[in-house]
Formats: sequence, C-alpha cells, structure tokens
Amino acid sequence: MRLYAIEDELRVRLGRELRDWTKAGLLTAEQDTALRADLQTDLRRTGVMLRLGLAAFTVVAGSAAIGLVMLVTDLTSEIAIAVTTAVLGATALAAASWLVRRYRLYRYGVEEALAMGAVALVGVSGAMVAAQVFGSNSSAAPWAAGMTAVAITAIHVYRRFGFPHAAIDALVAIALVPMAIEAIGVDARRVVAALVFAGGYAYASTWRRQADDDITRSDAEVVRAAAAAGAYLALNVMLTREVLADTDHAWFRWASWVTTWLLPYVVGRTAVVDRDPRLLRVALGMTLASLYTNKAYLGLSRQPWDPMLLGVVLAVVALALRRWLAAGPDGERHGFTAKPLVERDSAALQLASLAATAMQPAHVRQVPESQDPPFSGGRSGGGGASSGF
Amino acid sequence: MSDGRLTSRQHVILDALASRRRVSLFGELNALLYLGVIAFAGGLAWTARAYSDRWGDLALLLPASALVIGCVAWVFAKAPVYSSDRVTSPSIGVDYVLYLGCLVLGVELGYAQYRFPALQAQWDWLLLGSSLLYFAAAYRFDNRFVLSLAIATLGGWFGVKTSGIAWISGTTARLLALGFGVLVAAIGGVTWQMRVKRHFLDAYLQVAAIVVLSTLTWSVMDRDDLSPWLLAALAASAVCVAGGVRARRLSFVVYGAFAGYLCVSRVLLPHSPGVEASFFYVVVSSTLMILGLVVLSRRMGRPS
Repeated sequence: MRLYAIEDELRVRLGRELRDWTKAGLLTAEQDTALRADLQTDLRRTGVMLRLGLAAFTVVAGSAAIGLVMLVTDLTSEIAIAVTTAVLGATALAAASWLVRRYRLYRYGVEEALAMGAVALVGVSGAMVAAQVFGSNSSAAPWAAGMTAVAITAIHVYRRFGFPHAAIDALVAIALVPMAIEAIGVDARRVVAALVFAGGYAYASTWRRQADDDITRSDAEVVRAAAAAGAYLALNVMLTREVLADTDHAWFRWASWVTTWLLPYVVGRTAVVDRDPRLLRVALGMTLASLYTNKAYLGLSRQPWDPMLLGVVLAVVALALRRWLAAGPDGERHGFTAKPLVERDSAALQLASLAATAMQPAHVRQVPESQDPPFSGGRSGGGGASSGF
Repeated sequence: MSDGRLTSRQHVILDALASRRRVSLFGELNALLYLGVIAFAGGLAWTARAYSDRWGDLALLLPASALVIGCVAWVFAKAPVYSSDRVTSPSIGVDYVLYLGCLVLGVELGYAQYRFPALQAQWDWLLLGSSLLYFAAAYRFDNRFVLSLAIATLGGWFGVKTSGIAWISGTTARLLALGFGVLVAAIGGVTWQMRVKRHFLDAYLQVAAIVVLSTLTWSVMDRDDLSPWLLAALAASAVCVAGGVRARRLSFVVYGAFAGYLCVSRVLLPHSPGVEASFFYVVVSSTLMILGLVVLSRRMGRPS
C-alpha cells in the first residue's frame, strides 16, 4: 500500500539527523562520511524552498488544467461536472503515484501538490453529487458529503504517501462534518467537533505507543498535536466566535472557560512525560490563547497596558524556566535543557529573526509622488503614497 | 552504529538525542521571550496613545527613557567584547533586552513625533538616525532581531513598509523601493567583503531580493504594454536566479523564477487568442517551469 519502504524513510531521517549532529560537532566529518555510506536510498529529495516552489507551480498548472478541461468539455450538467472532477482527482492521484514509482520523488512538492489537489477535487465532487441527490435547499448534506469524501481520500493519501498533513486533513474534515447542521445549534457542533478531535487524540496516542519505528511514531505525534489544537479551538468560544458564532448559554461559556485552562495543563503534562516537543508547542500556544481570551470570558474590558503585563509574564516565565533548567545537573532537568543541542535549534531562531523583518513595527515615511516618464504610470497612482511589499 | 565507528561517549550523547532522552527547549524559550518583548512594546505604544493627554508627556517619556537606558547599560555590562565574527550571547536574555530597548526607543520616537509638532519637520532624519543606531547596536552586539529592525526602519525612511503586502503605486515610491533594495544588498555585500559579521549577509540579500523583485513585478503587473519595468524585472530575475545557482541558494532561484514567470505571463496572456489558449499556456509554461527548476536543482547537486 505505502509507496515508500519504511527503512528508506528511516534512512532519510537518520541522514538528516547525522547532518545536524555533524554541524553541532558531535561527529567528525570522517564519521559522517562513513556513516552516511550506510544511509543511501534511491529517493529523490530537495530543499524546503524548492519544494514550496515546485508545489506552487504544480498547483498553478493543475488549476489551469482543470479550467481547460472544463472549458473544452463545456459541461452543463452538475452530475457530469461532479464526475469529471472526480476523474480529474483520480488522475492527479495516479500521476502522483506514478511520479513516486517512476522517479522516486520523496517530499518533492510536485507529488504532494498533486495528491492534496486530488483530495480537494474528490471533496468538491462529493459535495456536488450530494447537492444533486439531496437537493440544493440545504447546505448540510453537500457539506457533510464533501467533508466525508475529503476525509476518506486524505486517509488514502496518508496510507499511500505517508504525508502527515494528509492525516491531519482527514481528522479536520471529519470534525467539520457537523458544522453545516445548523439545527443542532452551535454548542452541539462545537462539542461534536471537540469529541472528534478527542477521539483523534486518543487514537493517535495509542498509535504512538504501539509504533515500532520512528516514522510511525513521529506521524502519530503530529496527528496527536493537531488533534489537541483542534479540540482547543473547537472549545474556546471566545477565540472562534467570529467563525462559529458565540454561545447562547452561560453554562457552556463557563464550561468552555474552565476547559481552556484545563486543556493546556493536561496536554502540557503529557508532552513533558512523553518528551514530545510538538505537543509542548501546542500546549504553549493554548496557554497563550487562554491568557488572551481570559478577559473576554470574564467580561472584563481590555486595557492598553494588558499587552505589557502579558509581555512581562512571558519574559519572566521564560527566564525563570531557563534558570531552573540550567541549575539542574549538566544543565538539564527530566531530560529537558535550555541549551541548543543541534544546529537546527539555532537555525530556527535565525529564520525567525529574518521573518521578523516583515513584522517590525517600524515607522514609514510618506513619499510625495511625481509622475515621471518613462517609468511613470500606475493603476493606483496618487500623491502621498508610500510603498510597501 | 554499533560497529565501533563511534566512541562510547559519542554513542551515549547521540543515543540520548535520538531517543529523545535529552530535549532542547531553546526554541520555545526564545519564542516566549520574543513574544514577550513584542507584546510589551506594543502595549507601551497603546498605553502612550491612550493616556498621553491624561498622564502628560513626562509620565510616559521618563520611564520609557529610563527603560531604554537601563536595557542598553545592562547589555553593555553583560555582552562580550566586539568581534567581526559571530559572537554567541552569554545568556538568552541579552539579545532580547537589547531588542526591547530598541523597540521602546522606537515607541518613544513615534510618540515624540506625535506629540511635538516641532519634531515633525525633522521626522525623516530621526527615522534615518534611529535606523543607523539600530544598525550600530546590531553589529556591536551581534543581534539579528535588531538588524531586522534596522533594515525595516531604513525601509521606512525610504517609504517602504516591510510589514504586510501592499500595491506599490507611483513612480517615486517604486524607485525609492528599488533604491532601498539595492542599498540593502550593497550593505550586505560590502560588509561581507570586509569580513564584518558575514553571517548577516543572508538577511540583507533576502530582504533585497524580495523588495526589488516584488517592486518590479508589481510595476509590470500595473501596465498593459511593454515598458522598461519589464526589462528591469527580467534582468533582476535573471540576476537572482544566477546568483542563487552560483551561491547554491535555492530560495533565490525560486524568487527569481517566480518573478520572471509572473512578468512574462503578464505580458503574454493579454495577447492570447482565447481563454482556452490562456489555460493551455499556463499548463505548458508551469510544467516547463517545474522541469526547469528540477533540472537546475539537480545540476546544483542538491540532495536527491
């Protein structure tokens, strides 16, 4: 079923760790070369940026191909369009499988975009078929059918290609199935979605425990972290009220408030016990979101100095935690350390500082405009415009 | 790994890492500190704006100035001596205390401009001066966050907003944006040649490439006819791709390829005989771009 041998994926992963360890000075270059000889595979990989670029061009080409097919066939019947969409989805999936079998692409962007495009196409097709079968008076049936089709196809994609994001897509699609059933009320929809995510969390935890290899364990951890985040989002009324509407029941709001503080604790504790960094990041994110929404739950108005207090709290917690970890034997406690262990830890920080350029609160000078040929022109034009990108 | 190629000490360390008996919280702690500093500075700006009339200028400027001075003094006391090479911070807090000081200084300058009309006439020079100050601090203390702030503030002086995406309108604004991009690349190149903080080069070049390519691409998108902007955009894309290939940096290859593709498509598509032909063009051209990028990356010897 799976297009990649688990041993090959393990070799790829170990090769990545080997590079990190060598950069961190834990291995010599000679050791790296000697060990790497055992890790050769026939899988073709590429860097993150090219992977993104190839995925983007594949999406562009695929979208244009869909448009071309629809124009050329000139279909008018909804069922015919739905069938064509499903066929296009199956074709995209077959193309992705062929690329992997023929060229041994592994996380190359192209096969990922094709497979995930297939998930979307099959979902659209399912929704269109349901709209024809059940009539177009209600959006519930098409939505539920579309999400179910997405979930089934995404599970298939995960089993075939091993993309963790496909497994997350399946879980999210299942949780979204009841979202269009307005008759049950927003609270029930939230609870059902949270139960789906809780089920996904429990399943992923068992999956993780029973995993025989690092690849399966890592996939289970990714799904578990996503399930925890999904359950939190479904239950935090204040964070998602713009999307899902606010609750009408005071008891639900208070239960939600309690949950927003309980969940980070429970999830964070599990993350520490299992030493699962992804789950720990989710728990931290939940805690920040709970701090952010706390005043809204309690009906208190936000004050301008609230962010300052939050900033002080975050900095104090971070510095206290660092000091506590550093004071332990060998600068660690319970297996956790504040020191960067491999290059990847520091590289993430460098990347964050670069991305911070786009978030700097810098002031911008107003530029008086003049219209000079030959570079003149501009749809918007106007004086006093400042540029941006 | 049990065939004797690793020493027993290496085996113990790597086994602890691989089995996650040793986990680093370095990234998480840094994220908390970064968010804390940003939240504090944002809250200070909000408080200053909301309470400036009620509390008076001194009530805001004095504590903020004291905070800036305190931050800078603490960082000078803790930081190691200057070096042109990469310098590791003595502790995780030093980088963020300096960043906090710089952000609070920025808030103070913005507040002063807002409150004191006399300063408004000098605003451009204050902006440039603060940018230079941030650059000096970034180099003295080897701080990438402050370097980002310096580049963003310099962009502000050129009228370029580095946060968010907006349509660049008007010739003057576009030329200034191009000037900013070229200047940023030049600073990075010159400091690299001078062997001063060579690890900052990537930050300069990434900003320069994105600013120049996006400005030129917007300019081409804004017109229906052939214009000098198109030539400039294609030349910049080619330079970006060639530089990326030469330096084996695929991110620049991707930037250049995207910008070039968008510009060429913008010029060709309006002349398409029909919608079907347009779709056909996009299918074929995108597929060719995919093939081209794959061939290029394999020639560059990226992991495969």
